[in-house]
Amino acid sequence: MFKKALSTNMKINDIIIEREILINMYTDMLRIRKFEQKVVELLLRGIPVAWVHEALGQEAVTAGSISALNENDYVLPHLRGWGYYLCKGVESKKIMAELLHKETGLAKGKSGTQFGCIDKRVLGKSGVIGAGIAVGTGVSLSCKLLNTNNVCLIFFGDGGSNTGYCHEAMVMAGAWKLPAIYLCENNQYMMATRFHDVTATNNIADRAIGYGFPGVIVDGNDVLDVYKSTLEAVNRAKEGLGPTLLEAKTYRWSAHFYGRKTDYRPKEEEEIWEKRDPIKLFKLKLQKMDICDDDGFNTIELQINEEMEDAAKYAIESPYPKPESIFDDVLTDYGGV
Amino acid sequence: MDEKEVTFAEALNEAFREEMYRNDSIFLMGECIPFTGYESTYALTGLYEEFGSARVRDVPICEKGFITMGVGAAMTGTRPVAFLSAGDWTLLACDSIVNQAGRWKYMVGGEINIPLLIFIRIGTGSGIGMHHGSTTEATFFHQPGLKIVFPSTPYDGKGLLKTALRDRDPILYYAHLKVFGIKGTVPSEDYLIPFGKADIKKTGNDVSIITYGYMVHESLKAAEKLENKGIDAEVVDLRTLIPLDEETILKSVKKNSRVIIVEEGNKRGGIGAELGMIIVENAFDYLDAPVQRVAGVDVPLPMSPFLEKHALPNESDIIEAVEGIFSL
Repeated sequence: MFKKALSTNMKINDIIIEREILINMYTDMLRIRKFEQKVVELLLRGIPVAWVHEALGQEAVTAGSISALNENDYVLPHLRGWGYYLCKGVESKKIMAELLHKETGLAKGKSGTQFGCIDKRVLGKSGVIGAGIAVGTGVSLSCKLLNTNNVCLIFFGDGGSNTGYCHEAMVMAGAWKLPAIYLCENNQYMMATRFHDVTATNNIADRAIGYGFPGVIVDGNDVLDVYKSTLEAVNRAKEGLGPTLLEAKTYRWSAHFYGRKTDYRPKEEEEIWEKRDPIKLFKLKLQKMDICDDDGFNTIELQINEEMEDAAKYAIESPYPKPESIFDDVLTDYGGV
Repeated sequence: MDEKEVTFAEALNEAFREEMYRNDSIFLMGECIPFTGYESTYALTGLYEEFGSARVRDVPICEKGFITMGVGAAMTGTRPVAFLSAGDWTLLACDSIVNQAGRWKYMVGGEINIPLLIFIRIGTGSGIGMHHGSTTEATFFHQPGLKIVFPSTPYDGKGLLKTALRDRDPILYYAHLKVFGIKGTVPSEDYLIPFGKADIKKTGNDVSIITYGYMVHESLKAAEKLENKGIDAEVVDLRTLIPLDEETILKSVKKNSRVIIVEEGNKRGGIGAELGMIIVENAFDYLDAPVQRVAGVDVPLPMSPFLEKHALPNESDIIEAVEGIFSL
């Protein structure tokens, strides 16, 4: 059987993206989606699962941006989804186990949705919207002081962009030219509130000028645009030129978290954005440019299905933490020296 | 052992300098800390000249911003020290301290440490009012995930600060302005004081006065006068509130059967409320008199010195309280 040779890379403007990165980005997007589908499936089976803040429709933002990092760069995730972990190489079974409150989870079953994975340099999700922006900025200060040439990629939403934390952190990051990349996932709703109903600015990226660094609007449903823009921001930060604010315009298909309604927004609006499915759009592009063929896509999907089955099985079969473990990890010790 | 006499501020300054030479990852950030006239009020004289602007960092007026950045920096390999020039500012950074610094370690299942030191200058009793003069240790005493240090002498201040700068947890270090000028001896060589060990500043066999911070000095003055009245008071200086040395407290109370708890902060929901209950729960049968508290009154601190002195406890309030439990 004759098979056409596949292309080895893709050129966008001046950036050449290798096939391996392209395939990884596609795979990661699909992993994010299928991981969430598995979580919802377990939830509906009546298994106790922590809050499910789905990132359905926003997969390109996470997969595209994290692909532009190296393994020693830090990620400060925010509340929506688990792509931050999956794309940074955290094992899906450890994430799933934590979501199911199990002892084998990333935070030993204590954290539900807010865990980190320090080995992979994902630092944890603050439950206080906006706080992570300042924490991540501090991480970038640490990178600068220790001369590690790493960056911190800081995720937040349109909601977080309005907090005092965001302002204060960006004031200092701009003044000190910190290696921070601020990635605002503007999905247009903060819980049920429409961004434009409570904020006069059209673009969050426009605020960057006030902090003395560039603000860039990115198509959050185009993984390549996210990748390219993040890579530019990373390079800028590593050259010592300071932070960048990226505003990825996107949309969450789901409710704020699973079980909530979306009746505060028009159905037509939802339909428009669902047509711009970032995974489908990217698949079409990969097909068109001969980066991957049907066999390739099928293999990827089967592998992911298997990964998620295994993750669920591992999490379900893992034990719950012992009650006395609630006293662990509050402080390192109580005695000082 | 070689000793020298220094003020509390000089002792802290030595601790910062010695530890910053010992560990390159320590850096300081606070409003105006490099500048003459400001640096001395944080016990930082000369450090900017010695360590430069990267390690002695001036910051904008963004308390919750830079303290929360301290949380992020602390979990990724550096040791930040954040300075607040008033106890009241801790409330601006309440979320940073309580929700972020105090809970992140637990949130990630212990995978990280947060060696963040928050140095808080306390100006209670200096006529600086309701937004500069408050002391806030009781607010944070209620919260998990933090340690609280509140020294009263140059020796304790230096030893505890050096311990704090080597510890791995978030610490609130309260330094009282009225203690800054107090002199005392410190050893010339390196020393550390472990957390959770109270120090009996004066032994006595009639009544225990449990206190910390500047109130140690008011209590010692009161104890001296009480001695002339034939009452032998013991003054227990807690030195750290978290961890708390319950053993020393209970031992002293069981020995003396009478106890007064002295604190400068508001009485309601204060440190004394907790200490009193610890005593009642563990040493009730030993008590010959009710546990009494001498504390600040439950009002915002007036700026006027004429009114402020009525809001804060002093030597005579302590004497009165002690005499009160002996007349029962």
